Amino acid sequence: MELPALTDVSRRNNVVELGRPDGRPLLFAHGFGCDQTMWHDVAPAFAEDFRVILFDHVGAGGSDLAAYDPDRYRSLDGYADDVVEICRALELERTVFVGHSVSAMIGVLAAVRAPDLFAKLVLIGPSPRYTDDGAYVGGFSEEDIDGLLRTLDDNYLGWASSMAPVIMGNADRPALGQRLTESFCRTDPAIARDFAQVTFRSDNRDDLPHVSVPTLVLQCSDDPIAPLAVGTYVHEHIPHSTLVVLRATGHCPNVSAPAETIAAIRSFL
Amino acid sequence: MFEHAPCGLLVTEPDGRILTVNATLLGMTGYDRAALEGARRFDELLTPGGRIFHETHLRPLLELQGHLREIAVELVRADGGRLPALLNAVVARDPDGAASYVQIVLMDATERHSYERELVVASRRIERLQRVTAAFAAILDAHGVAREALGELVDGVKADYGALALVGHAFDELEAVDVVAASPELAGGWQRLPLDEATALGRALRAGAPIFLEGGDGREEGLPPLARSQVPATRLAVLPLVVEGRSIGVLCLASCTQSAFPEDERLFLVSFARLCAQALERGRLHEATALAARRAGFLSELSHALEEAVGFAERAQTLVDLLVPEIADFATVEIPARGARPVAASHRDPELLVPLLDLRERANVGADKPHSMARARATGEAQLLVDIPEELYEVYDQDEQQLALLRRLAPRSYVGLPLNARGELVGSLMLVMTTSGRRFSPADLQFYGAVADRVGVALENARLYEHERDVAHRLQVSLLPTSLPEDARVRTCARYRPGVVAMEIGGDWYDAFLLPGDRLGFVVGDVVGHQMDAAIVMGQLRTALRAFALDGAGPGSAVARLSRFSLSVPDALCTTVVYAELELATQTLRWSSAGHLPPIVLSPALAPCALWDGRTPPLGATPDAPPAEATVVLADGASVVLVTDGLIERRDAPLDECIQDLLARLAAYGTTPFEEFADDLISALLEKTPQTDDVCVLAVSLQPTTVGEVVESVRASVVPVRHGAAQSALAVVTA
Repeated sequence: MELPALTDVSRRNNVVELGRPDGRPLLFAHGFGCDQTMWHDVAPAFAEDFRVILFDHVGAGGSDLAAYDPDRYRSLDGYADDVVEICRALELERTVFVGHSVSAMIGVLAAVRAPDLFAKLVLIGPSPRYTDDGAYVGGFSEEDIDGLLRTLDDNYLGWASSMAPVIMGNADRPALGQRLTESFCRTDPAIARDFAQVTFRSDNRDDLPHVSVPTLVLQCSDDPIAPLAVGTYVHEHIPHSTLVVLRATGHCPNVSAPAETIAAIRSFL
Repeated sequence: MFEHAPCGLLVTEPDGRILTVNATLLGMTGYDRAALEGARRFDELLTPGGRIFHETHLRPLLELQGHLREIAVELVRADGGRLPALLNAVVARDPDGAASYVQIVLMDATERHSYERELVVASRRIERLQRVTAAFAAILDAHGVAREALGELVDGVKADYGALALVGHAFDELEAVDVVAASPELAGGWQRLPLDEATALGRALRAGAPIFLEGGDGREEGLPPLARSQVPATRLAVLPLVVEGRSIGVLCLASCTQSAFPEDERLFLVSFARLCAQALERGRLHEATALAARRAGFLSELSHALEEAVGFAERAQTLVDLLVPEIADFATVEIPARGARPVAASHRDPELLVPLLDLRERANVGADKPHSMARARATGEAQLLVDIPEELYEVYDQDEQQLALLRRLAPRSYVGLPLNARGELVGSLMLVMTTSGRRFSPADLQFYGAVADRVGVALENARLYEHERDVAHRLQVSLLPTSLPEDARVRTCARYRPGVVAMEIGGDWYDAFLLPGDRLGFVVGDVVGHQMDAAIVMGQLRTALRAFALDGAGPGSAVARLSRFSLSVPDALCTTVVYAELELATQTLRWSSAGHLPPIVLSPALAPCALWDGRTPPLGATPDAPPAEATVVLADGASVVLVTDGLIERRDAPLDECIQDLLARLAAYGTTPFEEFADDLISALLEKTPQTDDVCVLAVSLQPTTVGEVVESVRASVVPVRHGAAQSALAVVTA
């Protein structure tokens, strides 16, 4: 398959670069929920030493919604293909991939598909399968996922007013003002629903053993979405992996505890 | 104020641990204070799905944006029940900008939640109806509508059984268009159902209102076909399809697992039924329009095909050939005045034609029998049998073998139409449907009446044409000699070809007759023109000349008198004529030519020559001029040939040359008897140029006889008079 042109990829995935153009590439992939702004407090810390690349998955943030193809994104493989295309289009070598939440698995798939592209993987709050399966504890039942989808549906009605705030400049956090746009955390509702389905019904346990590069698993304490047992499972099934349990709680340490996250990543690199 | 605010209030740590709550919140959630304050995180009050949403969307937003507005959440109460609520939150920060605590407001959104749910359900219903409308818009036939509708019932409404049926033309029964059953245990297909007020079906159709039967054994009073099923229907909906206040059919659905029709489903089904009815009506109108156009086209084609002038039998056959198989499988035209057997018949399977006609002939059914063709003819009313019951076969024929044949031929539907011509009933047209599956219906009678009208008029015109052609033929025949005089001493031979293809005569004429005094008078004439008008003139002149000749005053006198007479005949001016009398005993020829080509004499020992004496101007030109006449004695075996200019005249050659050419050709035949080379001669002369004028040749040949010997009984037994008309050969044989 022909590789899309650099400009097409950039536009499709709203690729943003900062830092040293000649630096080692550090590719940040946001997870389920919002967009690259999730890395707002983490990514800039690496700009001095690295070539930092941020992007949005198709359907999120500033990505090109017209590029959303239900067939391509029927599974996480489509998103993994996008990551590989971004790397090749930007001619990235020895990339360090930092994936949060479902992007952790997307990174695993990309690394298995094109091992030559990646030097290291950092997986923040990964889960290879969210629903329980026999002895495997994913943490959720099918009904729970249905409930999530319903919540997404319900909040579609209120989406326009609450989820896309007009950020005029946050007096409390002035640094945020210009960065945040109207698209922050605003996803096309239909695509969001599809992405939720794909994410929470995925099962990539069998892909874990095929990762051939050094991997860091960052596990939050008390993460309701990817509990410790799941993080441990991931660590145990990826060869050459390290598990670090953060003090931060919740599922998004990149937002709730950026300093700890930065430190953990830095010591891995 | 905080405690009993009109909304639930919480204050939490940045990581969600609850610090304080108000009494309203305790009331909303059913917890007591100790269970919440310092004991739980806020997200623990949410459903598992809500917790994921909170963790992936709300917490990051709150962190980065600092507030949340109007988020719809579902709280889980202490007793496990769910409470829909709207959430607003704001982060309070310390002077360094770090989050110190979060304030959360929760408002009971039960009403709003149910309203929003209804909106969602309603909008989904509307989406479905829009999709169905779009699908129906493209469908123009009842079967297509049924397929789409039943598909929607099975896929969308999850029905186990669906049927769409239309009210039949007699309004007393339903005819199924399509039936689907999810499993074979359910009642399968059905064709016709009598409508009975006692059933749910009958009631629904009568009232035009839907009926929903829930939670029962649908067998009892639901849809009769379902009564046969082995699996009971636990819910059944009967939806009449109503157009302009009248039920045109019904849509039924049944399920075996669900037993109720929730409100929004009822609303959907009612709207859906309306859409189906509209689609069917649109399809029906489209079909009716298309049918009307097809029929108008057919009637027009029928009229065009009947424009040619043909005889009665041919036209009747053309007609039935046009009708079959377009509007009938079998058609006959019967005209009692022309016999019991149909005048014309056609069947879509030609092999069956003869047996059917035999049957028809035998079936002498009188006007007293209902629906019979005889009745159609007697009453002038169309006879219609939408469905021919088998019992009726026996009315037509009791013979077992014939009955077997009748069953094989399988007439299923029939209409007998009277044929009118000029206000009289002259016959009937029978149309029968056999195996094509089509049926005649009362709604079509107007169309068939129009067909019968055209057929009646067309046949009458054919009959009149035939009659006129007959009259014309006989009149024409009467204007020319049907036989030529006989005498052992002469042989007479004539050839006649009119210039107009459709006519049998023209302006040229010839005649030959015996006169007192043992003379043979013979003449060739040419009236100006060559059509009907010329023929009319010709007739009068021919008769007049005969009359004058009989006076015995000789050719000169006869021609002079004819010239004066011609002044009284319109359009006779400039007619040319050459009249000769041959005294048979002396072989003396006397002749007079009024502007006509000279007689040509063929003698055995001499070259052919033209006799240029005895000439006057054409008839009527110089009526008072003295008569002219000339005489010559013919050698033994000589012939005199009279011709009209149509034989020899050419546009590109002067007349002299043409005459010379004729003489040369005649010379080439030597002593061959004229009748043997007459046709060849004419063909050769007309070969190069197409004939536009009448051609007439009359030859009188002296037969060789020894003086004293009477050659007896070698009479010319056949003197053929051949009129070479292109259209009809008038061959008359004289004995």
